[in-house]
Amino acid sequence: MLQKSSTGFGALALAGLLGEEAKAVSPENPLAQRAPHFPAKAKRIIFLFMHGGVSQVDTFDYRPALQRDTGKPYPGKKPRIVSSATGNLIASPYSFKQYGQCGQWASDIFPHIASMSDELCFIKSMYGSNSRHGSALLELHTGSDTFIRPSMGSWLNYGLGFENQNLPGYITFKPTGTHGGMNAWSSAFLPSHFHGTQIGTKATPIDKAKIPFIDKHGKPLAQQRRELDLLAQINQEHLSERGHDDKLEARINSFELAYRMQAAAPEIQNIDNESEATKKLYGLDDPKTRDFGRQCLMARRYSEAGVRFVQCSQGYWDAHGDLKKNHREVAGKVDKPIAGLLTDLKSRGLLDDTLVLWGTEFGRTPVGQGSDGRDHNPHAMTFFLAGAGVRSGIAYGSTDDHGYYSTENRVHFHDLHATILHLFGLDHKRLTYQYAGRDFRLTDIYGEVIHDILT
Amino acid sequence: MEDGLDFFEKKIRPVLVENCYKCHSAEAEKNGKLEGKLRLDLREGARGRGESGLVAVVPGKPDKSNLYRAVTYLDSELVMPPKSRLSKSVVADFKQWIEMGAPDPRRGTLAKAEANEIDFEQARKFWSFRKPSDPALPTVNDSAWPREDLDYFILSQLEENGLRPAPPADRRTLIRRATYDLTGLPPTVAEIEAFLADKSPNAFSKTVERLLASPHYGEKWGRHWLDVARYADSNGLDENLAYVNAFRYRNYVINSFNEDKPYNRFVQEQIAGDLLPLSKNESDELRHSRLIATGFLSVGAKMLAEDDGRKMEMDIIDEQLDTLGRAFMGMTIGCARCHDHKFDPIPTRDYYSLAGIFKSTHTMDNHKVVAQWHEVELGSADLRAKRELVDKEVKKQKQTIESLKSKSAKSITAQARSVAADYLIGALVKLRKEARIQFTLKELEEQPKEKTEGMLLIEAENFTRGNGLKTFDGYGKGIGVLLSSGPTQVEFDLPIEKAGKYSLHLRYAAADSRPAKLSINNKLINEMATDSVTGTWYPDSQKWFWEGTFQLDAGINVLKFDWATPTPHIDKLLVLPSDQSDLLAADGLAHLHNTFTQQWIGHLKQISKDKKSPLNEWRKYIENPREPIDEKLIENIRSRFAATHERDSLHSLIHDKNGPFKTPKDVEKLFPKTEQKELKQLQKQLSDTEKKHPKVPKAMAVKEGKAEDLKVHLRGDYMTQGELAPRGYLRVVTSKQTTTPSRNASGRAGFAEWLTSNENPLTARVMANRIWLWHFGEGIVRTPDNFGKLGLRPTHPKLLDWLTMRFVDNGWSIKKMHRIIMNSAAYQMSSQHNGQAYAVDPGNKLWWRFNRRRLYAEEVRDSLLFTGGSIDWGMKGQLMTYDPRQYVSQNNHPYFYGSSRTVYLPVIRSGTFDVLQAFDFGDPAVIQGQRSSTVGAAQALFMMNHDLVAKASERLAKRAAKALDFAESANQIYAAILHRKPSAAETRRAVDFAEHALDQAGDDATKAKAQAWKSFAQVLFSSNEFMFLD
Repeated sequence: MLQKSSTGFGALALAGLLGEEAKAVSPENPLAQRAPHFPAKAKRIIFLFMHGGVSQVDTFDYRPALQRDTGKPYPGKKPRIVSSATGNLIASPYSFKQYGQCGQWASDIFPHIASMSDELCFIKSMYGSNSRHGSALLELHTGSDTFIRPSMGSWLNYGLGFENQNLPGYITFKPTGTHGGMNAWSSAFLPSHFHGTQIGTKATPIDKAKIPFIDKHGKPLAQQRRELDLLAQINQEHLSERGHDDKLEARINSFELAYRMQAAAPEIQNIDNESEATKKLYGLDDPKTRDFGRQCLMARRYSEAGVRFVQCSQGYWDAHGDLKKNHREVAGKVDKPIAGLLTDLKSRGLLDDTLVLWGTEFGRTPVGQGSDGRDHNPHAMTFFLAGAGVRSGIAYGSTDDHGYYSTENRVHFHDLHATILHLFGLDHKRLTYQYAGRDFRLTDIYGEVIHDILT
Repeated sequence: MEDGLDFFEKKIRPVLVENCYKCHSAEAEKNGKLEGKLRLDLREGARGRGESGLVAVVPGKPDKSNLYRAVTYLDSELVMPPKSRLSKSVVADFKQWIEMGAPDPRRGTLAKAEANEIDFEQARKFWSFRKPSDPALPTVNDSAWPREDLDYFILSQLEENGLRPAPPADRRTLIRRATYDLTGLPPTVAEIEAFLADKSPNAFSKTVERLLASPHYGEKWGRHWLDVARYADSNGLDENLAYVNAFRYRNYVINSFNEDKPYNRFVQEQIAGDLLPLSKNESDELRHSRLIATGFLSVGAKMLAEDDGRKMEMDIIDEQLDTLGRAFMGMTIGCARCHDHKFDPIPTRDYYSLAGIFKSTHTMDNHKVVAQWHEVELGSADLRAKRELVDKEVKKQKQTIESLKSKSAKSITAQARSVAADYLIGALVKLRKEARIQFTLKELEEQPKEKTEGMLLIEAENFTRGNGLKTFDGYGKGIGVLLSSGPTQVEFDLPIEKAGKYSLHLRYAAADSRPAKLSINNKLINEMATDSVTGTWYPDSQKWFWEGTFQLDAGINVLKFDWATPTPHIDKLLVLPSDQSDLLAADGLAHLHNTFTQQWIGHLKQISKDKKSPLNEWRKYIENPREPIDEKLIENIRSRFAATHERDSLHSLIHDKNGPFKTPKDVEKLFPKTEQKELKQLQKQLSDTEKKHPKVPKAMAVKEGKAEDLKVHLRGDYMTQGELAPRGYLRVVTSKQTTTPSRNASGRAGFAEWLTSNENPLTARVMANRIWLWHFGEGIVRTPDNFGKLGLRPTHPKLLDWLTMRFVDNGWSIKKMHRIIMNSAAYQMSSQHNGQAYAVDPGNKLWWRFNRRRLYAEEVRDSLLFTGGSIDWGMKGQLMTYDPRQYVSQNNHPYFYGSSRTVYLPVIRSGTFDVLQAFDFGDPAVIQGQRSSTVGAAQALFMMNHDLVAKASERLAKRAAKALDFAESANQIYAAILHRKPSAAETRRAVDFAEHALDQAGDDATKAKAQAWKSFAQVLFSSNEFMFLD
């Protein structure tokens, strides 16, 4: 009864029309693995999303001129469209120093991550198009700051299928319900199998967060098994009376898949058999880092089990005032867990084919808002990547002297998306889906792969 | 010149080749990669305008040269090269080169851009733009099969392909199919029995009529339309605000289907309901429904927090065009926002012609962050009358309050005027005090200690005793201030050498008034000390205030402040030995109201500008605070005031409505206690009356805005505009009869008329196809929202034309379409598999059988509630309890767990009900002409574990467990869930299952039995037979 097969999945009705490339999606099993366009470096990705807008000039984009010119007006032109009024330049309240062989600069709020600089690939010239949280967040996740579009996790699974047929291919832990909510992990017009599975809301304690509907509410397993056996029997009779029907067959199988998922997911979420040392590595022993630490640990466990796209979220970096306190506090929640995740992935050899991405919806202005805050700034931000296929110990691109605009080797969200797809062996121009009269791409009509950061 | 060319060759050309030619050269143009229609590989190109309309290189003028602006990277709107800025020295080279006159040897002329006009005549030959024909019925071999005319079209194509239609469905299948199809619910056992017993030839038509007459018909078919209208009860996207009035549009749609509103009328109302002619005595209900209908244009998802207001406005218009284009015409108009449509004959100019119509329509009240959509009031005559009544009462009460106020204010000011001389003296003294403090402070700084003898300057935070707090940060940055967080008492010990009169000054900042009781040596001196407001709590708004002049003894004097609130943020105290004016001031001025004194001070500060002021003779005392005031002066003032008469300018000043005795803003505070109390009572009464104001319902709707034409926005960017696009419609569909929008109106009314004209080949055709699709699960055109080139072609073009013609002939009646379709043999076929037909046509494009389908999300939930016996049939208003425009929370709303029909559950964008989500409800932010129909693990988990399934099973089991025997229990559950009797084998299996479950259960037999049947019911609910319609 518990055959571990996913064949026989029926021809599922896919919304819209499959584009040229998408014809590779098998009607028998849309979740089946599909070959990439070219050999892939990465098999899965963990996206560590920092919600609210992390200030680049207070974290990894050290700008000596800013420290020097505090209180003076910004010498360039401020953007035409801004979200709030700002004043003069304000130096970062933190102290910076260099780390590792590569000499990466970092402020003192990220000691653990900074100490791993030799493993990381910083992009200091990221930029987006929109100065508001909702629009910027959607652009980072879906490539569009205006319309409902499939998110990058959906595109990846649509392009490659599921690595593990017993689990969802795209999981997001505790995402924010604001600023677009579900649209950030939605499959939009792609088939709904590729919709992100939400585990918990921002308010759910991480150890209580579950895959929707997976809780049996105390029903004994034996009883459920008996029900499913009877159901299979009834459904088989129903099917044989009607002859061939892919969909009826697919639904029969879906109950077995659900049953297996019900067993597999709690096993992954149960961290009892992790060693004390591992738990400590992720900061589970400290109330400050416990929640995000557990998100990171679960991310590793789901990745290990073959979930292609796992996202962890932590807010709220939106320091319009009292930046000094805000950034130190939020950084304190994620610094150790992220370093722990990287260390753990590396020691397990997972970093070879797992990509880690750290990023935010926008950076912040080097000029002050009020006396001690910074406004939204989509024109410059810092991201870092690590693992599968990216060069380590480098910093790519840069901003102007005060960190307001990306100026050297600028990388738009579209370019980042193109690069991520490339690492998974997908050509962002060929991964298309036809909907509403045209072929859609994650990168719309834009995007260039950043070859300089690839191994 | 030679030098110039040399400079160009050495410094400029290589940079252009390296950084610009990739997108701005002949080569780029050849490869279709030319950006911004700008060539930089020829002098003529570089001196030209490109698409932006700005000249790239203006010789001699770097500031006017768009190329220079781009390479400086100083303006985030335009930075080139896009990926990395050029080095500072190269940018300087460009500046120098342009200043030199931009010498450039690259001769050659640009080819004229090819006119890329669409040939509309040619384009109109595409199938969907052709007028529908009225085709004759095809001939068929098996003339016995067709029951309706449409069957001939189906059968002839089957026969052409050598196929036979499936046999008719059995009657039990048919009634289940039709009941779900028209009402979204299963038939009741009684309905099935009645249908099976009815042997008349029109038994099925009668059933269809019964179902069409049911109010549940609109709930099902209205929901289909709501998918197309991307309906939701919250904005979604960035700012998820509650659309508490959207439900009126939803119910309007349901009602429109129930009353079989002609579809052309339905379309007109949604586009321009506010503009349709109405006779004067039309009912409120009709009038309102027309306004509500335009909610179609408003309920879309909007980026409400876009910092660029103009972009936001164009984005909202784009959302409207994209939705209505696909909903009504199957045209992806949105594709023509940035460039001419790549596949369909829709040039950008047509896009902006339509956009102009909606730019001239008022959808939003503003485009600020966070923007407000427009809503209209829907008052009935009754309601308006009621409101007028309350308005009247409110007005009356306000008048009473006003007259009391003005009477009291008059007596207060009259009383003050009677001692006008005192006020001038008081103001003079106070003004001089506050001016003098500046001198004194300077002296303190500059003069040796002995000169400032007798003065005390104390840092407020160095108080002697008390519960005040001090800070040297934030509010006290750099200086240190006294502050506190609650009621505060603070004492200062003042060491005084010589007994005498001293004046007390305080320097503080305050955003609110925080008065203190001030005592000296335990004697209350001033009840309203420190009550002034300076603006903020921060040091930069600090001011000095004189708090009074008091007798102090030699030795230690205790100064005590007592605040019922936190303190103002006090920096310093200054105690000065008194001078003459203090002595005078201390006498006989206690009866003055500070409010008037302050008004006098304000006036005195102004008089230096007014040479004719009656107070001129005292000016020197104002301007020079050291000019001594003596008794003579005071005598002089008093006698001058006593002598005023009506034609005197001093008299005019005293009685000037805007002068120093003007009625103060908060004059109520000066009223005697009894009057204050009376006033309070009246105000309470007023607010009670105001609460009786009837709530006038509102609806999301649009109205006419300022009529204007738009220019084409190049690449969709309003910053680069091209040719004017006068308001109008799609030229490819334009026929001779249609009007163009008048200059003074938005053009919506004409647009609605044009859309629903019998000449428009798209509108009726698109809807006829939708109706077919919602019955059969697939359309004749299988891309229901796209009738353009990238859409699929109709599988049965003649059938679609025939249906379209009948639709229009029958007055665009949707119910008549249901009759035509459901009475056909095609609709009544079985869904039985046929290996031979499947081999020829696996996708059933020829309709050799009826398509089996999974239940819709709403049908799943409604069936569970219905079968469990807990459904609430009422039509619902807004179930959300949010305030208008309140932020909605993400998901798991309590409303989702009520028992009303699913169509009435709030649709929360970016947080859709997870149960509906799992069953392909889809994204309510985008138009959905056809839902996906997937099966997957999430749905299975729902059936296995969700409370909705468990509850329905439990309710059913409780009833079934009361049956006489197990077989009867099984029968009941089969009848309720699958609408049929079980076979003998099925009964036996059910009984076995229940008995086994019973063995495992505990002692309580009744409970155990119910538990066993619950388990069995859950299995049947999970079965394919329940979840699919044959």
